[in-house]
Amino acid sequence: MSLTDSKHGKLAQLHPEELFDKEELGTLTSAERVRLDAHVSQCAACKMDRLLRADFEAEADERISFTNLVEGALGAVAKADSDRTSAKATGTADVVGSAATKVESKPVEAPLVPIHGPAPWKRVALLFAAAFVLMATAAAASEQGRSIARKATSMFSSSDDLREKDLAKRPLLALAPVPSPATQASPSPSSAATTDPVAKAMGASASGPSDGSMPVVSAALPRIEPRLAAIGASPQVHPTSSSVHLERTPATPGTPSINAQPANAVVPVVVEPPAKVVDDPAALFGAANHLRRSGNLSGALVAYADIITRFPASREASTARALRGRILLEQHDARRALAEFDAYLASGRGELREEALVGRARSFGMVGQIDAERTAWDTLLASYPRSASAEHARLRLEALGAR
Amino acid sequence: MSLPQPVPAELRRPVPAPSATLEFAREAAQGDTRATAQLLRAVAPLVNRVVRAMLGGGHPDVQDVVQQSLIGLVRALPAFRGECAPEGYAQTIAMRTALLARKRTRIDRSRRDDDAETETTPTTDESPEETAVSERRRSLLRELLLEIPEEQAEALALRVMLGWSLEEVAQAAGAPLNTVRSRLRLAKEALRRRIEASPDVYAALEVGP
Repeated sequence: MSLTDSKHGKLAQLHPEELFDKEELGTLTSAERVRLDAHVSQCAACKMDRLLRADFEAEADERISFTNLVEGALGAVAKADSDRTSAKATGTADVVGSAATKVESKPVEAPLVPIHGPAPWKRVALLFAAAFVLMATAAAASEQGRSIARKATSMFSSSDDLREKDLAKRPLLALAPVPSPATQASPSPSSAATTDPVAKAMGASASGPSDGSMPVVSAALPRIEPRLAAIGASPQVHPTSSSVHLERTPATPGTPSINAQPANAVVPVVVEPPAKVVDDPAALFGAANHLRRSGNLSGALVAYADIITRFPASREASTARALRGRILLEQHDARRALAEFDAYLASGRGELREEALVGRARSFGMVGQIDAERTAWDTLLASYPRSASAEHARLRLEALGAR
Repeated sequence: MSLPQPVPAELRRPVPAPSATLEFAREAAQGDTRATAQLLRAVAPLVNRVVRAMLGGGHPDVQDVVQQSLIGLVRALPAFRGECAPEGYAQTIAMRTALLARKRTRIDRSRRDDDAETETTPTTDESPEETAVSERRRSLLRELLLEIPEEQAEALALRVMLGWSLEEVAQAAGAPLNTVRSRLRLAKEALRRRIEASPDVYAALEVGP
């Protein structure tokens, strides 16, 4: 009997799924068993179904320890959360990473990396600065005050020395420059230098941040600046707390290494040891794949982007494009996924062309560009009529209807 | 060839009592780290089973995908409303993760010749011939799951690989029962076509009047 026989076809389409369920539960009656057996004896799909259930049951009896897997999963989640929190705290979150974390759920564990608040010594320094301004203002009001101002200046200098000595004793892992986007974007209030510090102090006003933290006394900065310039640091406005943070920044391109002069450092920043620089795109690609396979998709996105940036002409870079597209598509970031798939296809490489075409079509579907999606599926079918996605493409084209 | 015998129900459902894991899941959803760890330990064997079924027991990425599934579960916990058993929730996530991983493996394999997929056969009391036929069936199903629409693949996999009932599949998919029936019908139709296209498998099934 031919499998295409209409009678057989009708029988095969009426798969008794409920009877399979009853069989599973052991509640099948004799009559129902006869019916089920009769069907299974003639239906290839259902016979296969029953055989496969036994096959997979036999495959499943494995007893292994899952401790490492569970701990690994917990660690990966915690690390992803801490990475995200750290990036948020420093304000240097990668655009790719930030997009990748949009779809992630709330963290289930406290970040492992502590987020440091303003250090106590900074508060002390600000208190000294505020005291100095008060005294400078009072001094400006009277002739005798000028001598008091000089005393205050010397007092401030002493406290600054003490602070630096204290810093030199701190057990820091490393001292590194901290980029400050807010400061880079707009000049620091102190950068509008005036020639007379006392006159500036008199004209200055204490600005209070809206978050209720300690007010910033911009008038104190001119006095501090010469000393900071001497050690290669400049006052900066912290982007999150709106208070003055004295952070070391390279004054000139030729500034010596910070690690070489720890006593001159101003801001303690705990950073990880510098990673070994890898110049092999294949090694980077392997590392990025590992991140992806371990579920760290945001990390993988960044790693793939790094390969694209550093080795744009490499084979790994073009493959990284397609893989980024895949991840972004999974994260429902269809527009950026589309750009990556287009970039991959433009590279002229063909290993992942089929997947890139599927990705394009899915991306268009996700953003609701019906005509473009239809064209993309047509392109896929024209190029890869035996594609694993061909059936899905045809179904999708049917669903989309005629133009 | 005689009709295949169904697997006894008590062997097919090694799922522990749901009350404890449900409590773990609820606490884990609130961010309780200890409960999260306990939940993962409880569902890890089930997740492992799904992943092994989907990828093949000897696939080199089994452990990676199990871990990835567990991570996916933790990520999805805040959305867990306790309306179904956490085991089923975890297995559904594992099924989707493994399906995706298998697609990736196929792509990687096409990209790198030296990264051939490894499918090993389980150690059983079957003869080598029976083992080979069994592996051929599983391999055919795994390939089919990559080719049919995801909803159909998920429904068929949950039924065949895990022995879930129609209601369980519908609950996991969040779809009406009739929709699941329809998906299964289409999936089985695709399975039938696939069997027809594989003379060795079809001959081994010995179906017909």
